[in-house]
Amino acid sequence: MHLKWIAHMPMLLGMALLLVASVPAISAEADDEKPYRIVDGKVDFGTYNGYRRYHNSCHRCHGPDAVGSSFAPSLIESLRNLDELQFFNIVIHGRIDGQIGSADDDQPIAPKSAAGESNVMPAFYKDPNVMEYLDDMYAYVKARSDGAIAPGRPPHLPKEKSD
Amino acid sequence: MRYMRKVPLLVAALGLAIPSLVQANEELLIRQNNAAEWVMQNGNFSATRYSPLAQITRENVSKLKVAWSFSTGVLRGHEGGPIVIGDTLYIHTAFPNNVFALDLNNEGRIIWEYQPKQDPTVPGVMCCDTVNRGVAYAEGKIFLYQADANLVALDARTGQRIWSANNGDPKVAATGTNAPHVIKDKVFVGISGGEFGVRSYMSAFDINTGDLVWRGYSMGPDEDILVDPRRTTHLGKPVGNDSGTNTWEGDQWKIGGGATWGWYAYDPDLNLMYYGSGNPSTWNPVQRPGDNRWSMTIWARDVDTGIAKWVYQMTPHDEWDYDGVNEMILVDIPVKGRNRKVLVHFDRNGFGYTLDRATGELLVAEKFDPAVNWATHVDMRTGRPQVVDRYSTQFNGEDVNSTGICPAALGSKDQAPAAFSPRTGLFYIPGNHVCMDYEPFKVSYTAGSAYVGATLNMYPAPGGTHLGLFTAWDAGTGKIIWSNPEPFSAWGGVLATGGDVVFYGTLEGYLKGVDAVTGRELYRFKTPSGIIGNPNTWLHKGKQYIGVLSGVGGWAGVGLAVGMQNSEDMAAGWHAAVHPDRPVPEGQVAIDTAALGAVGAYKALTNFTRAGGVLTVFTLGD
Repeated sequence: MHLKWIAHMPMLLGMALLLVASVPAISAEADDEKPYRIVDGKVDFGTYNGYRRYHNSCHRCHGPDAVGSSFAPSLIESLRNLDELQFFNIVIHGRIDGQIGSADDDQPIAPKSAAGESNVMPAFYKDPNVMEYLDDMYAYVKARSDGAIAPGRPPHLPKEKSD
Repeated sequence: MRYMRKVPLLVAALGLAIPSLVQANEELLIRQNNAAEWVMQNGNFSATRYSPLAQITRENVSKLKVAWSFSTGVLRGHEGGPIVIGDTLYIHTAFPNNVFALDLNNEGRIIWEYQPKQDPTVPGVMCCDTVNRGVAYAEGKIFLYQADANLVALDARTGQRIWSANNGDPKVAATGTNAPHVIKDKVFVGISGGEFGVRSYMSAFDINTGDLVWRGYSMGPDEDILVDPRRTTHLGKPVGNDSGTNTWEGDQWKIGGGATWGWYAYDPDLNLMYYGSGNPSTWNPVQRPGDNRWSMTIWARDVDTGIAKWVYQMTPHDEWDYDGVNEMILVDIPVKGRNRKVLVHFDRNGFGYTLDRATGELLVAEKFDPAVNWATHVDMRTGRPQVVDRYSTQFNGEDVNSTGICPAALGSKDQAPAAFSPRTGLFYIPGNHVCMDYEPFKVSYTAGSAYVGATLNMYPAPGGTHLGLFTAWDAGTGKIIWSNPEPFSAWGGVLATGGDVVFYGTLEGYLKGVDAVTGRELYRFKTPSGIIGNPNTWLHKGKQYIGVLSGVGGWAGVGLAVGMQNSEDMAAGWHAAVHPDRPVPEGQVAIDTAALGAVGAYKALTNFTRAGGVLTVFTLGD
């Protein structure tokens, strides 16, 4: 893909390993390798937490319930084309006009147009409100993208030890 | 109509109000009274948004036609409105905050355009769309407050930049959205970033040099918040030492929020400027014990020194994001039988406040939307709202979803400024009729990152299927005179006129004209996009014009989704919102309105409108 993206791969993998180490994986693989679990219409607590964290950090741009807004795309659509790794990569490093990376990086990427008509996703690698819950947030957005949960606050299962 | 007799008196009073002390920008004090121009965003220093122009009347408003229109070339939310200086109209855009000078002698031909160069990452740290609330004018200069918190002065004739001053660092999510306000020889700007833990402030810059004259924070040590502990009062009592830190735990005040992005007003006789501060950061109240002073506060500051004369905290220890930033309107009206110089403020928290603007004495605090339920009333002695436990997100605690709270975080009214007509004595309030569920949870602070800590769902208030109200209010008694439902939140500002027609825009894109006395709709025109801007009026070659910005967005527009999930939900949601009295047509799915999230309702907007900044200018047809 983009050179910039490749350049970030080692960093991403490092981050991903860190995440795996620090965040207990939710029991995703059992359910057709879905990152979320739904029992009797209730989502696992991790996915529910993802809903909350999404609405802390993402919804101002990507809209409530991941439906998109007047200035950022619907993640319901985006997650049909992005896999988990790509999702993490964009969230961690940000993206400007389709290129991974952000002004936070050592070499900021110039925007497409000086008039500011740019599509900018910030980098969240410094934000514990995102980094500590990346798996949960992915599970939530993926569940929305799959149509597995409706808009609004999803009913949820109680918190388990593994959550 | 009892105020009609007082109109000449009021005009005379305004004329006499010109101070003799300094020549520092007397220009605006005079020009604000020239109804042919519209020299500041809210029309005059009292922010009444009233024009005595009376060519357009209740009888002929139906003949209103579009004279010309102008695309700003920018999508996203367009708040604020045009200002008119002589034969030139100045209009701004959402980010990247371009400014145009348009020639009124030539149907809006472009005289100059200013395009700031801004870091494209700034919109990522703007909470609620990339709005800008317009430019200001003084002494041959146009002032623009950019999203990157740079304040620039432009030559009004050429658009050349004269000076630039920085008021905040977008890297820590301090951004600019409010309109600059020129008062005397200073231009005032606030800061946005209450959702990012920015300790906010009001700044006064010299209009000629761009030098910072003073800066008063919303919280912090006395020397930061510019109070005199013995002389600055809260409801008549001195605030005492350390009032900006002693209701915070530890040094949480350092990330205390209290944003200042609203509309300001000025009383030349008292030499005070007025504005409100916003929510304390985070939205999770459990994480920040105490009253969190002086977030959620009405401030009266000395224009020259910044020292606060008085403060009034409306919502101590906010638990709902009821920012106190909405406009302050200064009028002289009878309150309980006695003529008073008052400040009137319609807060996000749903209470309409009337205070003595010289002393800060609380005179009236009543609900301007009957749906408001988070507090039973405001105790007039302590000034404290009496919070209902059931709707207290603090009481219910972290990780608990408190339901049915009215109003929603959007407030019973958001930033769109209300208007006052001295002819009817009424205030006209554009409102939201929206309630919410609110679940606070723990968050960590990182500079430049969202520091919200709550998730919420919004839906129409119980018993109704509309999301907006347009309300006429008596601020002397605190009573609703009439109230019209609007399908969507009324997110555009209001203009009251001497022709007794009151104008406002709607999210679907209508510019509406209603009877100032009865509220009856007399005129509507569908502009190219939803309106969250403010209609303003002026004369050109003796003829009255009205201009309004379209360009849907803002917080309400965040729900204006690009991709729809379920067209049936959307159709039914819209139907319920617009035609509550009619059955849902066949083939559409009826949905419980209580479950209809604000998105559910707002997303129906896409049936009506799309993004796009356009200025539409109206005048009477022949």
